[in-house]
Amino acid sequence: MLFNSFEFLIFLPIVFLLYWFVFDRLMSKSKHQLMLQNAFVVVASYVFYGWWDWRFLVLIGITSFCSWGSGVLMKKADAQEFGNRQVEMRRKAITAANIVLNLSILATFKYYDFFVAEFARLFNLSADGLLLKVILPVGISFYTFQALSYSIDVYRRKIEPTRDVVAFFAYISFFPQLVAGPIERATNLLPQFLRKREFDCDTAVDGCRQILWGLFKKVVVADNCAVVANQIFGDYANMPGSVLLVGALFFSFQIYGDFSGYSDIAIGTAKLFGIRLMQNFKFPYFSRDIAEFWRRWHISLNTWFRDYVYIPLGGSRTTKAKIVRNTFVIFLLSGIWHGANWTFIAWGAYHAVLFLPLILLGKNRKYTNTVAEGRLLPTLKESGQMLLTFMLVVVGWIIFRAESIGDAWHYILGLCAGDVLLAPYQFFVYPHNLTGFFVLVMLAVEWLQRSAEHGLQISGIRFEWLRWLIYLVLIAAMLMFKSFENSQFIYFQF
Amino acid sequence: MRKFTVKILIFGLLLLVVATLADYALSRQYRHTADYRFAVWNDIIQGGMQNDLIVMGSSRSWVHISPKILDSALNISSYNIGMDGSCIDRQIPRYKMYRRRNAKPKVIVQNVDWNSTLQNGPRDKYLQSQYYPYFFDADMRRIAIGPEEFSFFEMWVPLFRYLNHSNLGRTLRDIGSLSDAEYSVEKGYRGFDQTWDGSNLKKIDSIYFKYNPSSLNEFCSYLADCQKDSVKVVFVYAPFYVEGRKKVANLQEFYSLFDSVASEYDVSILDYLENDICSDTTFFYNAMHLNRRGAEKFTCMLAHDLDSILTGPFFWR
Repeated sequence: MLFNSFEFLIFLPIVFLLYWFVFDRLMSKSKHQLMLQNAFVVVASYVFYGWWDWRFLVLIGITSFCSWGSGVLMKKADAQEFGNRQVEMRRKAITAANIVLNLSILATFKYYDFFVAEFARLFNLSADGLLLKVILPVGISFYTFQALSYSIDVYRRKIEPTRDVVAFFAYISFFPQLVAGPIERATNLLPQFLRKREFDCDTAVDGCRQILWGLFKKVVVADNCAVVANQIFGDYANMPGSVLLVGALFFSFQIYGDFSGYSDIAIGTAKLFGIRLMQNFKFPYFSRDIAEFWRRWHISLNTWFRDYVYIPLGGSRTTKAKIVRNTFVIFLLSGIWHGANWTFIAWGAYHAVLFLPLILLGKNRKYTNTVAEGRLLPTLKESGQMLLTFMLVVVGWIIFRAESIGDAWHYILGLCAGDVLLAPYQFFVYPHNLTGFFVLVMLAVEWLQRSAEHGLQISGIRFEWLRWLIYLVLIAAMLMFKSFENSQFIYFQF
Repeated sequence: MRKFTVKILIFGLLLLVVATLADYALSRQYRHTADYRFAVWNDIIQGGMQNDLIVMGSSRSWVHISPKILDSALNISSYNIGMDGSCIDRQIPRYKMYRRRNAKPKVIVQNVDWNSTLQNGPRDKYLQSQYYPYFFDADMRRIAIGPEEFSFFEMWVPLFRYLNHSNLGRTLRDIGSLSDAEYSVEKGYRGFDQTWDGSNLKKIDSIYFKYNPSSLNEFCSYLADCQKDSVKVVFVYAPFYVEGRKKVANLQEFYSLFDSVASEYDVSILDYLENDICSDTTFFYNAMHLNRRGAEKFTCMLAHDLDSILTGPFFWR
């Protein structure tokens, strides 16, 4: 089920009403109230996911059960009278087994065909009989990483393993963030399923606003940008440099609107159920260097790699050679996490190259505050830094979006041609100019709200009628300008 | 919780009111365009027409038979309610709607065809948008707007049908672009000025068309109703380019069927399949459709033949 579908518009209120009125109020005196409410979350989440393809619910079930089981087994190992060393060995073995199992499922569905095909190509063999040709289960990378984080955190004793299997299944499958994140940590999300949730009107209203803003970014900005970007990337060889630049810019806003829009809808929806999810985007296009960009873009994935890969490898408190290695490892992993294609790996490598100078010079944490804090406009220097960072990111998106490394290379070469300075007249026409206008609206709103959690955190506006007018304008914009060519979220494929 | 629920309900209600008003405004705008999709429906719904003769059928009625020529040749009043891309599952509801709001015609000129009279499947969604502006009309909803071609949401949620395959921006632009000259019809007829294009015909090898027997029952029951209602029906086998005709493997099967149906329900037949016009591409713009020149020539022949089978001017009095 897509967030931007009519089915979801029906599904969400029904689930909301049942969740609060039946499984909270009516059952408030039952000692199983929490368990039943969590079970309802699991059922609703499985319906949400099964709407797309119910067969893959088995995979979520296996991932959830095994990860929960690994926690239970670790607790058992703790309770037994072994020596410390033996306990640790057992715990390590259980965690390793769970990691191997989960990564094997992920590898089979996501990477097997790619590596077999590449291997066969390398040795000039035919891979036809060896390929599985299975479709990629939606959201598999997200919930697998979420399950792994639990297992590793239990192993590290950062969190107590839970015996509550229903709460654990709810933690893995919670529908707002099941298919495209944020990739939650057990330390944040699981405890919320282990205690009674309280309804808070202000949080719920803020959730609705965040959903609305996310929908605007997805339906109006991303989907319309996609029309232009697809057209240009699909025929880039015949386009002048200026048009290629437009295509790259529109794709950059498409992927941002799409993914951050999804995250906003997910976080806002979770708020309606009294659940707080982590922030996934902090206005990344207002970053002053690449390091800041990576602290603001897809935060849940990047902190996952930081906590579970980068720091265990030694992080930045090690030799320079190892810092280089660690940086490349996490960026390459981040690239391949997005999909089995050399373009994603190259995209990761490209960002590693941009990031390295900052970390080697110790300047990777130079900008941890909000840009132009307390001021309406940035300084000239800040503007230049943001523009440069953004353009570097745009080049990365070309690599990310292209069908192959060769295509990416030729696209970038096309951008370097002299005609990049000519006006891309064909994209000043309606409706592309309108799409450009909506991009500007999104940027302007987010600039003004850059210290807030999301673009529509407008509880500070005194007049209720004005807030309602803003909601109506956003809804009208969605109805007026929704694109009907692209509705799938990009990150579903990862 | 109560505060939140009340807020959401009020906001939902506000949206519903705005959506209903917008739907009404859009539908009204569409009804005021001259576009061929709506012009005939508008006339039918407005009601009060007193036509002696109406023309029914698919695009082969719509672009073939000019009521203006029939009117002047026969000194009567006629109207063409032919509907592009339709089989009788759409044509009959349109006729029923016509009958509900307008005076009974004396004659129905029913164009019958191998592929556009008896359908071979469920009602399709071709030109579904022609119904959009009439969802506020109870008779239209009951008689003509088929629940099989509109989803529950399209039927009952305001604006949804306009948004399902388009957006409001495009819909408004669509309304704005429907200029009179380009899209208008004349008493339901629309002449096409294109010249012959046989490219599609070349691509076709052979066609075997099957029909759904239930559609034959529907057709027969409509003819029985006309008979009961004392409305004379005339079948017309409209011109079909001779080379195109050869490509329909079971063409004869259909016309034999229509012959037998005609004899059962006392229907006259005017057959133009062997007429000279069928071998001259200057009268067609594709194998199935006459251009304006062909249509006007054909309508003159039709008027002459109708005059003879409907016993001259006395029939119309």
